[in-house]
Amino acid sequence: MSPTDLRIRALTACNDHLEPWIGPFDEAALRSLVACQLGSGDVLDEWIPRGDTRCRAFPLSPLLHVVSGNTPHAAFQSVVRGLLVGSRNRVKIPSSGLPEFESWIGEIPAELADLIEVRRDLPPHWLESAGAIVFGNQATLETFRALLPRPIPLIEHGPKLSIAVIFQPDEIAAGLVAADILSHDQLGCLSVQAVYVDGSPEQLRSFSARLARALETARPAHPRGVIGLSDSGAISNARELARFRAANGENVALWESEENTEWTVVEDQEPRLIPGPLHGFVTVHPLPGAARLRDGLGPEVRHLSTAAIHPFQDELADRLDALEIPRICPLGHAQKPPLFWHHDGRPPLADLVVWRDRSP
Amino acid sequence: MKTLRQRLLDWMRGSSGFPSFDEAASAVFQHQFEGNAAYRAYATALGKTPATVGTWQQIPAVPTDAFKFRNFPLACFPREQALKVFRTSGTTRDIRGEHWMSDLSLYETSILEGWQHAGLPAPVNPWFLSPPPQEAPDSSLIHMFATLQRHHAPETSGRWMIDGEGRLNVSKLADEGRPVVLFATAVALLRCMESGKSLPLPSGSWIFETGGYKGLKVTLEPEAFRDQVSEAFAVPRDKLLNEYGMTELSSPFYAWSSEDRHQGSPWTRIRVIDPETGLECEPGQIGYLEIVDLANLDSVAAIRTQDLAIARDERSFTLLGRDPGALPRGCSRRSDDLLSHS
Repeated sequence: MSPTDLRIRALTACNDHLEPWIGPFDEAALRSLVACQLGSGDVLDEWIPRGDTRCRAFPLSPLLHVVSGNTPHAAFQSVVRGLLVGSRNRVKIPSSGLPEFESWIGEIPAELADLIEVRRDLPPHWLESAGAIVFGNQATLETFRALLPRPIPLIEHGPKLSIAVIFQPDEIAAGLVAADILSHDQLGCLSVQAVYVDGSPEQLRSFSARLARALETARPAHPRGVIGLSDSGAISNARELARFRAANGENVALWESEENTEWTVVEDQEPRLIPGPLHGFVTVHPLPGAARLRDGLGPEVRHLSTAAIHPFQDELADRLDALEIPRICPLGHAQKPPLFWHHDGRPPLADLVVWRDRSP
Repeated sequence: MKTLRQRLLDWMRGSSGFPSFDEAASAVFQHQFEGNAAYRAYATALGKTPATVGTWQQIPAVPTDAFKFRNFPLACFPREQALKVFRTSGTTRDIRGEHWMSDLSLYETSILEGWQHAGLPAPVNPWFLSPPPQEAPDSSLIHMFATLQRHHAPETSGRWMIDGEGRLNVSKLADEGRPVVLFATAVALLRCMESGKSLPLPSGSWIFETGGYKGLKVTLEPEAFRDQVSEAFAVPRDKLLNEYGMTELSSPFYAWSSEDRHQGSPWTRIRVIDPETGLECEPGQIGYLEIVDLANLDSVAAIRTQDLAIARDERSFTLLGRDPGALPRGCSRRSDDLLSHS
């Protein structure tokens, strides 16, 4: 059995721990991922003929992962990929910890344990890694750009936002999008921050009201963590600005939780996409026609990560082509990316290896 | 019969004008409710009208960002009657808030009488680490500086040490032998220090420092910053005066660096709100600062800031700035990220 097969078997033994974060998988799926990404399932272990040369992929190792604390997905996915290619993984988790991830590390099979080290601090020698994957906000990215030595490959996953596009604005859609909004307290790059409805102004209003009811109903199942004063303040400020605009006759309507900031829906006839204050705050807009789609949503489009659409049909997904969104998924699945997904449009494994050739 | 403006001016100057703050506040709220359409609509949406508002605490506060809406100006008069338009700072990419004034008497009286009420020494030898007023006609801060100069040191000239191109020139100040008052923003002071142009001021001098620390290239705690300023300009730490003000207000709040609270004038009130519930905070609790400034007659008296503070009494607060625990975390793009222009 090859070293890659051994790692695949060990990862599959962790299935119960990993599936909630990387989606369902088995040994065959992992082998297929390696083969799809690197062109052959054996190329990490032996020289493979390619045309007039032979080549082999070597993992970036050690590989530094800097993961954020908002959702554990990124940590699991990034590290599983590093393990799959055989890197030695140095994982810097937030100083406040990442319980789900640390729990897995505590039970990790021996075959993988030597390939992974997890710390809440950042030892200086970790900066001398062969490559780095950094998740975080703009300040985090800038910090690591400055800290890491120039020649090493740096894979950045900076702040992104996601949207939902509703072509059939019914009760089912409202329930599904509520989950996409509230999961992980809306702090992930896959969290839906704005909902676009393909329909009349009346349908937009009616769906906004449905969504408000759905958020109210769903909130107890997705309790918020501790929210800072400034986060509450940002939500409160955004609510008051919406109230101000609505009071002054703009096409804006507001639904909000009472006596707290647990959920908020702002319906805005302007389609412009603007990042919100998170923690259960969503805006609802009309979906512009094809000719105005990109301009209508404005410059934030370049920061889009995912669009969750309802119903999930290729011809409807095609209508969003102008937005060039890296991922389109069914509504309700925004925060459940599959194993094979290209995070931010990047290849999941191909970025983690370097190639060596033996040519005649 | 005196106009409301005149009654307020008399009151600010110490003559009897109103029997209580609440009465003055109610009169101002009624004036703004009647004359400021955008504010009236907002207040009405909140169920607040002159019939339901009886105390200053009940006056609805407008978020400062509402001053950025061009379609709904927060003014009690039409644009063409604006004598002055002050704008919030920002780049050409930013939407800047506008505060219109049809008359500067209340604004300037608030500055000068507020200075007296705060017991501040008269700035008879002022120097300004800022551009001159003609280079920044929409800056309320520089208008404030000019107002103080006209009143306290009308004979002085050539005291503006940053030109229209942003160049810093402190050569004349270097020749000064008498104690001075150096008026500056925190950013200008830092620039001066970083460029090696800071200089020891004559004994007896003091510094008026204002503005936030946003925009500084370095992360600097206010205390550490003031230590640096004190050393660079050879001014004792307790001779640094911090002013808390904003374009949307007419009245400043002051604190010497040895004091734990900013104090406002008698025509101001403050309250601190828990943004989660919208209710006023318990004593000692941190929340969002709201200010009622009756000198803001032409616009809106009650302003909701985005600063965290602890209320000390009706006119004073301990300023905490932005909540550091709420800096953006994780990989979700949020409203704060817009600030970084990423």
